[in-house]
Amino acid sequence: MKKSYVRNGILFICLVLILSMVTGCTQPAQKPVDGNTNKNDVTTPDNNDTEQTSKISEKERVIKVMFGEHPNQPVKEFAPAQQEIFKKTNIKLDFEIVPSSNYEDKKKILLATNNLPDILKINKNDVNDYGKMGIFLPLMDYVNNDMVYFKEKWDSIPDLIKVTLDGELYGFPVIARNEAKNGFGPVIRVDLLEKHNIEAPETFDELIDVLAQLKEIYPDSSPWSMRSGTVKNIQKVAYMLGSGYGDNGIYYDYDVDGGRYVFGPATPEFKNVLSYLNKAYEAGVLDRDYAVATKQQWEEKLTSGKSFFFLDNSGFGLNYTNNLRKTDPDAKFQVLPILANQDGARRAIFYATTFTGEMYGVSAKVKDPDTVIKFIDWMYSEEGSNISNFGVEGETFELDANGEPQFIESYVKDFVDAQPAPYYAIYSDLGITKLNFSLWACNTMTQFQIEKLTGTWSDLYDEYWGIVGSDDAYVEPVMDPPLTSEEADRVKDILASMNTMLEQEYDKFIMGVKDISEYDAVIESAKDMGAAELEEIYNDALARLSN
Amino acid sequence: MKTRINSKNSAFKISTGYRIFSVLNYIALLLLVFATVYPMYYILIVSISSGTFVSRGDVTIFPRGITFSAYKTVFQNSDIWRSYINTLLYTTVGTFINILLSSMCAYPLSRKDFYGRSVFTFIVAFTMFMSGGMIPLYLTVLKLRLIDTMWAIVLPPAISTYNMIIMRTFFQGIPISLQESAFLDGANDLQIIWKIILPLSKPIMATMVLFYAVGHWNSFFPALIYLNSKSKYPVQVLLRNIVIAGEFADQQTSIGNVESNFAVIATNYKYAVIIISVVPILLVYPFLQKHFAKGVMVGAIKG
Repeated sequence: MKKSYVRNGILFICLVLILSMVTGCTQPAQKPVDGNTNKNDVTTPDNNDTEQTSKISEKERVIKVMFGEHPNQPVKEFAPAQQEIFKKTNIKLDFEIVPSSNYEDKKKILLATNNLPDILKINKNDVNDYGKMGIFLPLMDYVNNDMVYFKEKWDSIPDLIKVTLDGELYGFPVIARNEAKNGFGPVIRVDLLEKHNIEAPETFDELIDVLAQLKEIYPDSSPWSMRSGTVKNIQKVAYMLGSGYGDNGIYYDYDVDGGRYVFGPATPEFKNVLSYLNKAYEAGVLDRDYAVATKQQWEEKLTSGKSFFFLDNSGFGLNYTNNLRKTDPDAKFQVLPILANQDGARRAIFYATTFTGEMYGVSAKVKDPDTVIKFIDWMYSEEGSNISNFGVEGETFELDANGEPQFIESYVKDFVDAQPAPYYAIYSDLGITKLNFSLWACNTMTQFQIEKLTGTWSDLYDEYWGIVGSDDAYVEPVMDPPLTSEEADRVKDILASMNTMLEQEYDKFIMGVKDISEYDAVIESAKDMGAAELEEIYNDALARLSN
Repeated sequence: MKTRINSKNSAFKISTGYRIFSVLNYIALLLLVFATVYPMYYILIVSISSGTFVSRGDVTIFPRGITFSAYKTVFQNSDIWRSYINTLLYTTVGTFINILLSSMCAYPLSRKDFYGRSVFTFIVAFTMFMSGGMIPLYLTVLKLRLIDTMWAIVLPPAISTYNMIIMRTFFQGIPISLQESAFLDGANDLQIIWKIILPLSKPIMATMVLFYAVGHWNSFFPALIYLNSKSKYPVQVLLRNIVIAGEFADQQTSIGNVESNFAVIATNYKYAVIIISVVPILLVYPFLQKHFAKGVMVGAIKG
């Protein structure tokens, strides 16, 4: 017995030794493997040479770019736009396509192992987490010294400074080109209002009356339905009702002390939000299932005529109208001008339309960064943006009298019946717009052009964009200032416990389990948990930028 | 007396209580079957229903507005075909490697006369409980230069310790005297495993093929992190993107209404993709089932 223990022990030790010898020996023999190196990589030998040639890279150069693929717009390898880019710049884009559903997972692994492609899509969090580690190329010097087109954008959009980290830039922001402004808004079945001679509401109080009247006429309905849980809906209505929520409670309010960050749920104004939703709930206007309804259930209610109002992404109204009209030709959802709240104020926020929140970082290990930077700069130029958003000049688009690109009708016509939508099919076919690799990127501009050419555009759309465009209640969103890593950690700590506490409370007040007067106690405990500190961190960070 | 006569015919006395129990039992089991089958059935009927009825929530028991447009859209997507072929390739090659290496590992460990058997078993079993973690694993695959090749998918999971131990337990159940007599007849170790052991191990082999093949078919994370070229993706990666991405996108606030046009047909399209990717592996089950149940049980009891 004892002998076998000894024997096994010796065998085990021998094995470990052999294994460690094997690994030890192979280590130096192995060349350090650089994930970025590509056999096709040809670096330009001399910078002066490249300046003399008309193309950005003198020799053919492959640049690897990684970004997420949205299922609506499959990304093709070397599509016409990329071929055109290659023709103009001698740079061949080699896309590493990751499904957008798991882009974060893949990116995290590549960042953690420092095994990046030349260029990859990142966001502000990545800059905060990894910027200081030296895996992204610091870009500020290039912006100031080498870049022309991007520098122009940088100077004209002062808010972009918020994507920096301690004054250094680690990623090139994707800037939207001619984006139609839009935001969350109230959308109602106007055909029913006309049918029953009900005036369209202008205030939130009138809204409850109007919906209550509809509820009387259609007793089985739940006039106002919501999706995706209480917090998501508070985010949408809180600002309109005089408070605010932002993404996680902290938001910028233009009307408080001339504009500052406020932690919404810890303010007395927030009681108005909860008591208003409670009023709607008690009146039977708000869907009983509002707290748990999924998007699919929400859509079912709206497109089957069980709900008549939603306060969400107002553009959805256009689709639901189309869907409703298959059974009810008169049906019509339309956005209302923003309703006045109990103080008589009309408040709403646009979606971020200049900076989309996405950036492209450059690997610090990239070969010949000068050429890469020059190429990226070109992508911000009129020419680069036209190609990466409209395709090939003369074949798929032409410049009009003002020098603005316009899709060519004969090209677009081939895609009239394409799924999921003609414009997605065109984007996918050409390899263009913000879901592909474009830095000064179009979204609504190209979509509108294509929909007008394919005939999917209708008067309803004109009316919709007219109402949103002429509504002066909407204000520009404020991009959050960059926080230091200590601040970001502190914010995370405070919010984790605070939101756990708060999110349990909201429904109690909306459903009337607790009276609104009891919310003062919730405000007190939120203050104890650090609401004021949160506001201070954000306001200080904002003040730091202006100094 | 009467009951005695009855019991002659049916060997057992069937009491009223037992009958009531049987009826209730059948009802309960049918409900269970319904709960299991209905989700699959629902996915099937939604995939062949018209998008309008789906989004209105009218499709519950029967398909409505039957249309195959969703399947048409799926089949027009060349990416899906290519990834389908990739999945077949990875599953076949991967399962082959799995079976080969697992049985070659399991057989020696099943032999009582194998020198240092307990130590090797311990070393192998150790990996079941301790793993290097994702980042070291990624770095290993990277340094072996397997990134963006099929081998990154099929080699790292070459042996599943758990499956290997089931196999080993099965091999142990084969009497040692069979091997001894083969040895006396002049067979060497390879001949013994090839001509004696493996032919006796069909149930466990069928079970392992099924375990491994289903694993490969459903596996998506290794493909996601180890592969860079879209042309090499298996179907699960695309499937997940199609099914999941729509859920995230609608909450995006920066450019919202772009999502909306697709929303009308999204559900039946998603479900069509699910049906297409699930059907082949479902079809394998009936053929392997008889081996399957036997194989798992044999391994378990003797363990």
